[in-house]
Amino acid sequence: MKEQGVPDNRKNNKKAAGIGIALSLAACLFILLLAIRMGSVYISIPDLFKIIGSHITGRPLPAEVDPMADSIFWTIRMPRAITAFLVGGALSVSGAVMQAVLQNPLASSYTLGVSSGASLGAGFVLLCGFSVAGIESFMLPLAGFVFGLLTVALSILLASRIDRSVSNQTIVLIGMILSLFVTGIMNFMMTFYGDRSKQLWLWMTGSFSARNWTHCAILFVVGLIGFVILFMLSGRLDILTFGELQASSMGVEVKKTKITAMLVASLLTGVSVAFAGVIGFIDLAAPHIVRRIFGPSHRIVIPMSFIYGGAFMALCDLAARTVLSPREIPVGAVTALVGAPFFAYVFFAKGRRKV
Amino acid sequence: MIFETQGEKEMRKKIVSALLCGVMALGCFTACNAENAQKVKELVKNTDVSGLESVEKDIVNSVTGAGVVPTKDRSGNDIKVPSEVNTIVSLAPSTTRVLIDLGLALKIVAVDTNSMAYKDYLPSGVKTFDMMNPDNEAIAALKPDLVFTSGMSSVGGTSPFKSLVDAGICVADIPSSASIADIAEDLKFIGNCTGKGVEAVALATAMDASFKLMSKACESIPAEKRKTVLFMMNIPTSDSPTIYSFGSGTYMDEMLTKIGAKNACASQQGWVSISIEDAVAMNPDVILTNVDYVEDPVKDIKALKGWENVKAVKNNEVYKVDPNLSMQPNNHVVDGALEWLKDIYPDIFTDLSKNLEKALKDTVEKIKGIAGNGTSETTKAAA
Amino acid sequence: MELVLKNVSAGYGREKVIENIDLTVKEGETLFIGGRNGSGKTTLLRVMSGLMDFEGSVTVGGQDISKMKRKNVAQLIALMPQAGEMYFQYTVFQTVLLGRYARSSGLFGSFSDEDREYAKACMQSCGVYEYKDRLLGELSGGQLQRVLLARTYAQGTPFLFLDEPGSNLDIKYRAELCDYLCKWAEKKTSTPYGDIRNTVVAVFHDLGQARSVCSRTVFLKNKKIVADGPSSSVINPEKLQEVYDFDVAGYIGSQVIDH
Repeated sequence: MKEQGVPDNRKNNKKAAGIGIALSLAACLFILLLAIRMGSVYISIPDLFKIIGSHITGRPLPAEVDPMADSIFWTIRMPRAITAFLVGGALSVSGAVMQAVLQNPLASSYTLGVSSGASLGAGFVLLCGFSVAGIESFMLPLAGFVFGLLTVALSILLASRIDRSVSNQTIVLIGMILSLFVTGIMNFMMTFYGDRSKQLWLWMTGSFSARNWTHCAILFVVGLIGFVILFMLSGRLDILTFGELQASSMGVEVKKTKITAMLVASLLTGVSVAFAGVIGFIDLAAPHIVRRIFGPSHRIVIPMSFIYGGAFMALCDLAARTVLSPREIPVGAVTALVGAPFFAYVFFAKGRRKV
Repeated sequence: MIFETQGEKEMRKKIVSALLCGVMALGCFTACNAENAQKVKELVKNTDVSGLESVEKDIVNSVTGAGVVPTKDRSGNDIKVPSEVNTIVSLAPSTTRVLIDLGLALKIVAVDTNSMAYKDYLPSGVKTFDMMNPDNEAIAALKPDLVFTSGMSSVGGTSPFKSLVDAGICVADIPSSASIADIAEDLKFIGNCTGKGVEAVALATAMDASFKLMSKACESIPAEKRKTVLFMMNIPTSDSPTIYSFGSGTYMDEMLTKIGAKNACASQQGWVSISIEDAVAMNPDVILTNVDYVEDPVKDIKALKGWENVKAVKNNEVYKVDPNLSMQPNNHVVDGALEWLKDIYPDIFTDLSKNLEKALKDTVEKIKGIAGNGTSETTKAAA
Repeated sequence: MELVLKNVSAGYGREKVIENIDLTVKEGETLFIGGRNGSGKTTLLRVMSGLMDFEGSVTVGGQDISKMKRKNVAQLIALMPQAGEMYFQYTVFQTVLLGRYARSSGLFGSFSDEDREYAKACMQSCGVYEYKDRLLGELSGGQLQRVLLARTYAQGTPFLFLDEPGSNLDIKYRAELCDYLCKWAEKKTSTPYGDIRNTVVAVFHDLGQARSVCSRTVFLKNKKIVADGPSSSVINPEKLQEVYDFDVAGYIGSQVIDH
């Protein structure tokens, strides 16, 4: 055993991890480009960059590029693919954090009731036509977001009232009860406003269609803030996975860390659900896959979950709009159909590390 | 629109009379007796419509099959139509309009909520029911002789009207028509159930004849000048980004074909939902929309982000069309098709409307001529 | 530096497990807490670590423990609880390194080379350095226990509280564990409050371990302290009979117990 300042293997591990990260980033970029280029209309890479270039620099579009391509790719396709990427990333980071906080590999921020709350909010807008003057076009995402977060806050509040230590079991149970209750309210509402329920159903199963650059901008800002905060909690999240008592003994403010992490994770999920509806599965699967490859240290898991989740979501959206073209499959259906078997394979295949 | 409501009635009556004459003239060659032939000849000379409507029904029956009371409804269910139909419930606006056109408005005791678009023609005390959630008890309480339903009310297999059938009420279902030929059969079915077989045949024949005229007028459009049309039944937003339209195998698609246009969604079957991206990529020459839940749907469509380079938007060929004319599968699809024609090929439309009157006059003359020749031969044979 | 408990009661829900406890632990002491299952040993340990709610007063170095920041307490007191389940597969090295959290200050919680050295030393003293790149799930019960001990050491505190630390270890490792603890208890640790003599408070089921490590013994029964004094005198057959409701001495044999 050499007497050195830094253990030998650590250098090798770091190198391996570095290569893994670089490869992942490259693959992610490739997938994102693919998602932008492929669809009912196809574009070549040079044309794509000419279009992007002209929008960034403000110069007019070069003559050889069809203006229809500009309409389709800049206004319709790119915001859609980028929104899918950002939503996938945000959901995955949120899922990773919730799994650590609740010490449960099956946890996600949907556990706290964000999806039921958001659906109820969407229900108010779509079924009852509830609207505030001046922001009609943002009524739906706003309602989804506000109600989603309210439900989560209510879950956490109730859990901390009932159980001083905000134990995980209490949180999960309260979240489940509140979810069911809120869903019940929504079903009750649907009996009065049944004729628009198809639209609500479509919203709930998720879609990235008709997203524009404003959606991307909001998602990017909120996602970045959430990401940074959660990344800063990495060390504490690592410790939390060993148990709350132990974490407390090691100097982590457990209650504060848990509530902060859950709220920020729910913020990420809330904004994702607001702009894309309820899309499940990626928040569960991506962190697991990342941990399998890179290990459970959150300094790596959080950023890589973003990358893997984002790329996977962009791929699912690509499939959703091309497989049965010109029909569109709801993205939520694709993520479940494709993701579930893939996840099962990764999780249960022998000879791999457990979590 | 070329037809005013009153003038439209007049025009139709003219077509009815002209074609009825043609039909009866044929009947005269085959199975009639001299006395009736004489009546017909006189009526044709005077082109007296009301007189025509009271002509012996059995002549027409034997030729056209009109007046045969159906034993199955349009969905294939067995039905027993009462011998006298005095009270009718109609749970589909297209059926309601047909009943009105056949002169049965006063017999209607209840309709669905959407049929109230025609409330000016309906009796004042008429009741309304929700098409999707009909109140069977209330319907039964009205003791109607006949209830017309549309396939739209039965979702998921079991008919919501089973309790009415069990109560002994005649429920005749007319499912959504997939073609113009289907519409013609539906018209005849309604007529045969209500003792208005002749009138219904006339409506159907008039519809077919009108479409034939339109097709003929559009034959001359060269292939490269034929326009692609995208029919949008809603305006996509971020909240509901799917666009609803129709593909081939629908009567609306047939309407487009008959007026010489190409359906942008023809590659798909039935009612379709397409994504915004696909719609833009289709790059239609013309966009038609029947959206009426916003004030100015044309403006909203032209303002959609990313649609600026679509031919229809660039060339200002986005038009709003009347939903009652095209969305209801009855004889008024002719008016709908004419409205579309006016928007898509305005030149042909102008010519056609000029020629339609002339064409009808010609038809009447021709039939008069045939009836004149035939009568003398028949009387010779009888003698 | 002293850890002082005055009139402390604590429990789960309404039922109190320990009532009106007065206890003072001086630095440098090695204290054994004994008693039957459910007598409140674990509760007492957790209260002393500031990890449970309690009534009464607990102060360390004169400061009220319930008012101190977690990190500050964690720099003075480290509790090694009974081993639980692991879901997440960190390496041994990562796990032990996490123990340095209380001493780290970086914005993103990163560890310095100093921290890594310290962790390495702790792993070596527990004999787990050779497994440093193994995943937790690949370790046996005993190895896992030693890794957790190494992490507790890595926290670098003068007060070390252990709840049944030898339960998964074989006799050899148990003996080694007692050896480490004794050696460790002779040293001092530097803290922001100055150098403090190392102090051990431990719960053992094995009286032999208790005797070899701890010079002071406290027995709990019926929510109260029923004995408190030097291990050599407190651990006697009569007291054992009273505390454990059972002829312990007769069961173990007099080799272990002094008369």
